[in-house]
Amino acid sequence: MDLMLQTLANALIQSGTYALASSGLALAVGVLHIVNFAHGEFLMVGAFVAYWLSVLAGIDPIVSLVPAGAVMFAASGVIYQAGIRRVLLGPELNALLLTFGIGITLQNLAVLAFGATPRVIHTAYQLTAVTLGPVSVGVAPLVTLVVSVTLLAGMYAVLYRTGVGKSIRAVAQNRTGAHLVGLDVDRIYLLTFGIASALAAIAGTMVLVRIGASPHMGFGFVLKAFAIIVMAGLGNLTGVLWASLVLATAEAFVRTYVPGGGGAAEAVFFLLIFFTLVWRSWRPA
Amino acid sequence: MRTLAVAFVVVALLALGGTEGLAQREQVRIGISLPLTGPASASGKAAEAGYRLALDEINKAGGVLGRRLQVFIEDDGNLPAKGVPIFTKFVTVDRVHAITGIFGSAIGVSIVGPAKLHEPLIAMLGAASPLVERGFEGYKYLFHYHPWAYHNMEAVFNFMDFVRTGTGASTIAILYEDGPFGSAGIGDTRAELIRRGFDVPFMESFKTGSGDFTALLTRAKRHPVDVLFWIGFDADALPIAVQSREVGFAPRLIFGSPASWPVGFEGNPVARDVSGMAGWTSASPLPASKEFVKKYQAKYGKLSEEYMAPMAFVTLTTLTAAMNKAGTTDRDRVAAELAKTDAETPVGRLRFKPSRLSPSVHQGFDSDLWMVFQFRDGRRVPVWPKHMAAGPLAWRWR
Amino acid sequence: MRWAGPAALVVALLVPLVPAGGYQQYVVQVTTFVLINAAVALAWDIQARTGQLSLAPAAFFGLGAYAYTIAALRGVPLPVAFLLGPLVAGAVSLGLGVITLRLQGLYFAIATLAFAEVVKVVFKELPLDLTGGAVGLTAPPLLGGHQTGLYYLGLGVLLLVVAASLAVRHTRLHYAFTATRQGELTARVLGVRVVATKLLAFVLSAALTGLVGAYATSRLFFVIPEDTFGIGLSVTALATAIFGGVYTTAGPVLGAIILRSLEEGLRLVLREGYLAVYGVILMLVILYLPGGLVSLWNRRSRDAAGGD
Repeated sequence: MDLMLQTLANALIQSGTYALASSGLALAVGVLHIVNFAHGEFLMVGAFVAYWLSVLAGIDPIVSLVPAGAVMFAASGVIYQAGIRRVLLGPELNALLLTFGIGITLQNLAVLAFGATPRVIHTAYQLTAVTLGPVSVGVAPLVTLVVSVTLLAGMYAVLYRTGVGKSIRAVAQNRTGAHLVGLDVDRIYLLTFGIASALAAIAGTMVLVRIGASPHMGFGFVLKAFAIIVMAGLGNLTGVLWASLVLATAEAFVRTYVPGGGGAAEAVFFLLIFFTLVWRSWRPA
Repeated sequence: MRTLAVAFVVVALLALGGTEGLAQREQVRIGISLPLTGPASASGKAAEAGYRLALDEINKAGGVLGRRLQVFIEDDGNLPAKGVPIFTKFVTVDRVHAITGIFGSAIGVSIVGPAKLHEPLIAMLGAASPLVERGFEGYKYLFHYHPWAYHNMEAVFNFMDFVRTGTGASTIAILYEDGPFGSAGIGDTRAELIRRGFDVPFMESFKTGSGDFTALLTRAKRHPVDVLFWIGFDADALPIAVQSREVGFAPRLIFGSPASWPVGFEGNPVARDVSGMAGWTSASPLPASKEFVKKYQAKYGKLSEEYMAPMAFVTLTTLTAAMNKAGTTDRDRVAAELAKTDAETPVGRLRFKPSRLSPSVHQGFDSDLWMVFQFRDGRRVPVWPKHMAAGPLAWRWR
Repeated sequence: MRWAGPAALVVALLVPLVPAGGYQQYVVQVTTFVLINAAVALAWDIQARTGQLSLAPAAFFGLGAYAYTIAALRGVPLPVAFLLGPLVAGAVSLGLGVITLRLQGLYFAIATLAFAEVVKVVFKELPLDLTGGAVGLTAPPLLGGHQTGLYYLGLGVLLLVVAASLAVRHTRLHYAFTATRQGELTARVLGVRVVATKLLAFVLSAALTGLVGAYATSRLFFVIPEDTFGIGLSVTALATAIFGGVYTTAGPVLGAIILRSLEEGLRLVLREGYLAVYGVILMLVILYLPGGLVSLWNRRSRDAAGGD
C-alpha cells in the first residue's frame, strides 16, 4: 500500500513537469495551428537563462522563471515577425521545416556558446524532501507541480474569462471569421506565440533544478509534449493536465511494479497514446 | 668557368628544390577522426586537445622521420554516415600513413569494411564494444588503446571487492541506461557479481536524459542496498543523486560510471561522496601525469578532467615514437615497433598484448586504466586503487 | 527542364567512373549516402501526397534493415534477405495503415511517431540472441561489400523509388492522391476510393523505405535500435523533402543532394558552428522559396497539383 501511495505521488509530481512542458505547445498548436519543432529549444533557452542567473547572480530559479519567460517572450516576438508570420499562410509543412530550422540553429548556437556538456546548479531545496506519512516527495518537483497547475489555471482563466482570451479562442477556431469581425489576427498570433514560448522557457527553468541544462535537452521533451497534447485533443487545455497525469501514472506504475519495466515504460507511454488516438478515431462521431 | 658556375648554380637550385619537394612528398601524415559535434563532442574535443598538444611536442622535438608531422583532424559526429567517408578520404585522398581517433563503437564497426579493403595502420583511441573487437578479427594493423567493455566491468568488479573488504558491503542495486553503453553485457555483469558473492536484488534499465528516476528509486528502496551502481551519461548524474534523496533512498555508496560528469556537479553538495570511475584525473600522482598536466596547462591555460585528453596524447606520441624507431612509415615495420611499446604514460603503463577475443588485434590498456574517485569539497579525490589513492573511501553516504 | 532528369541520371551513372584520383572512393561513399537520403525522402513524399504526415519512416527503414540482418545472419541467401526488407515493412505498414485510417493531420503524425517509438523500444528489449538487444547486430554486406557494386545497387534502389514516384505522378493515381490530400470528403464525393488510395500510398512508401533500410545496412554494417529506428531519420526525410519541394519527384532528390553537400561543405569550411549555419539556411530557403528548391525552376509552369 505504501508503495502504491509513493508511486502515485511520484506520478503526480512527474505529471507536473510534463504538463508544464506541454502547455506552451498546446497553445501554439491549438491557436496558430503550427507544429513548433523548436519548442524544446525554447525550453532550453529558459533553462540556460535561469542557469546563468543562478551562477552569475545567485538568483534562484523560482525567481528566474520571470526573466526566463520574458526573454523567451521577446525572442519569440522576433522569431514570429521574421519568420513564422510568413509561413502561416502557406502549407503547413513549411511551418514545420521553419521551426525545425529554428530548433537546429538554437541548439547549435547553444553548443557553440556553452559546449555540449550538461550543467547543473545548486539550490537550497534541491536536497529537501517533504514527508507525508509513508510518502516522500522532493520540494523541487513539488514546486514544479504547483507552478504548472497555477500557470495552466491562469491560462484557462485568461482564455475563458477575459476579452483577450475570447479573441484568441476566436482566432483559433476560425482565423478568417475572426478577421472578418475585426480582430487583429496577426497581433493575436504574436501574443499567443509569445505566451507559448514563455511557458516553454518557464518549464525549462524548473527542469534545470532537477536535471540540469544542456543544449540537447529539448529534444526529449518536445517528443513527449507533442504526444501529450495530441492525446489531450488539440485545443483542449485542461486535457493537457489529464493526459499528463494519465501518462505519468502509467509510466510510474510500469517502472515500479513491472520487472524489467524501466525500459518498457517508454513503450507503454507511446502505446497508450497510440491506442487512445486510434480508439478515439474509430468511435462513431 | 662560367658553364661550371652555371652548372653549379643549377645543380644547387635543383638540389634545394628537390629536397623541398622531397620533404613535402614524404611528410608523415596521420588522419584523426573525432566527434567534434553532437552529444559526444565533450570527449571528442578533449581528445582533440590531447592530440594537438602531442602534435606540438612531436614537432618541437624534430617531427617524425625528420620532417614535420601533419595531421588531418575531421569531425565524424560519432555517426557512421560521416565516419565511413572520412575514413575512406584519409586513406585514398589524404594518403595518410596511419589513422587514429575513432571514439564511438558505431563508427568502429562500420569502418571494418573499408579498413579490410585498404589495411591501414589504425591506432584506435576509443570504442569499447565487443562488436568492434570481433569485427576486426584477423586484422593485423589495429592497435586498440582503450579498454574493452569487459575490461571496464572487471575494474568495477575489482572495486566492488575492495569496497566489500573495507566495509562488508554485500548488496548492490544496478541502474543502467537502455542503450548500447549501458546494456552491453549487463546480464554477464550481474552474473559475475553474484559469482563473487554479492547480492543483486534490483537491476533496471532507464532512458538516459529523461530525468525521471523516482519510480525506479522507490522500487530500489524496498531492498536494503549497500551500493547503488549506475551506468549512464552525464545528464543522469544529478537526477539520480537528487531523486534518491527525494524518495528517501539512501544507499551507503553511490557509484556511477558515466564517461563524464556535468559542469558544476563538483561544487554541488548533493555530489558529496558520490563516486565515479574515470580513466584519469588531473590529481593523479603518476609522474607522467603531472608532467602532462603541466604541459596541458601551459598550452591551454586550464585543467581538464576528461581522460580522453591524455589518452589521445599517449596514442599519438607512442604511434609516432614507433615510426621514428622503425625509421620508416612502412606498416609492418611500424606495427612491429609499436607492438613492443612499454611506456609509463599519464594514464598508466602501456603494453600491448593480443586482444582476448581477436588475438591478431593489439590491445593496449585494460582494466588497470580505471580508477575510482569521490567528490569531496568540490574536488575529485581518488580512492582506488591503493597506489593512486589520495584519501580513504568515504562510506555511509547520506 | 525536361532534360534535367535524364542528365542527372547520366551523371549519377558516371560518378564511380570519373577519374577523380584519390577522391574517387570518398566521392562514391558520400554519394551513396546521398542516394540513401534521397530515396527515403522521396518515399516519404509519395505518401505525403495523400495529405498524411507520417513520422514512421524510421520504423520501416529499421524493420527493413533488421529483417535483412536477422535473415542474413540465419543463413538466408543475401538476395532473398534483401527482399525480405520491403516485404516485412510493407506487411507491417498495411496493418498500421488500416488501424490509423481515420486519423488525420497531427493526430496521424503523432500516432505514427508513437508507433515508431514503440517499435524502437521493442527491439531494444527483445532477447539478445533474437535481435541483438540494445547493443545491435553486425550485418553481412551485399555484394561482399564491393564499393562500386554497392553504389550501383543503391542507385538502382533510388531509381526504383523514382519510378514509383513518376508512376504515381503520371497516372490517374495522381488525381486520386491529390484529391485525397485536398479534401477527403470532397474526394469521396467525386468517386475517389479514398481508403484504397491512402493505403496504397502508405504501403508503397513503407515498402520502398524498407528496401532502402535493407540496402543501407550494407553501408553501415551495423543495426542498432537507437540509431536505426531513431526519429532523426524520419525528421531528416521530411525536412529534405520539404526543402527540395514536396509533392514532386525532383524535389526530395534535389533536396538530398543539396542538403548533404551543404553539410559536408559547411563542415569542411566552418568546422565548429556549421550546424547552426545549416539551420539558418533551412530557415531562409523555406521563407523565401515556399515551394522548396524546385520552385526555382517551376516558376513558369502552373502545375495543377504542385503545392497547395
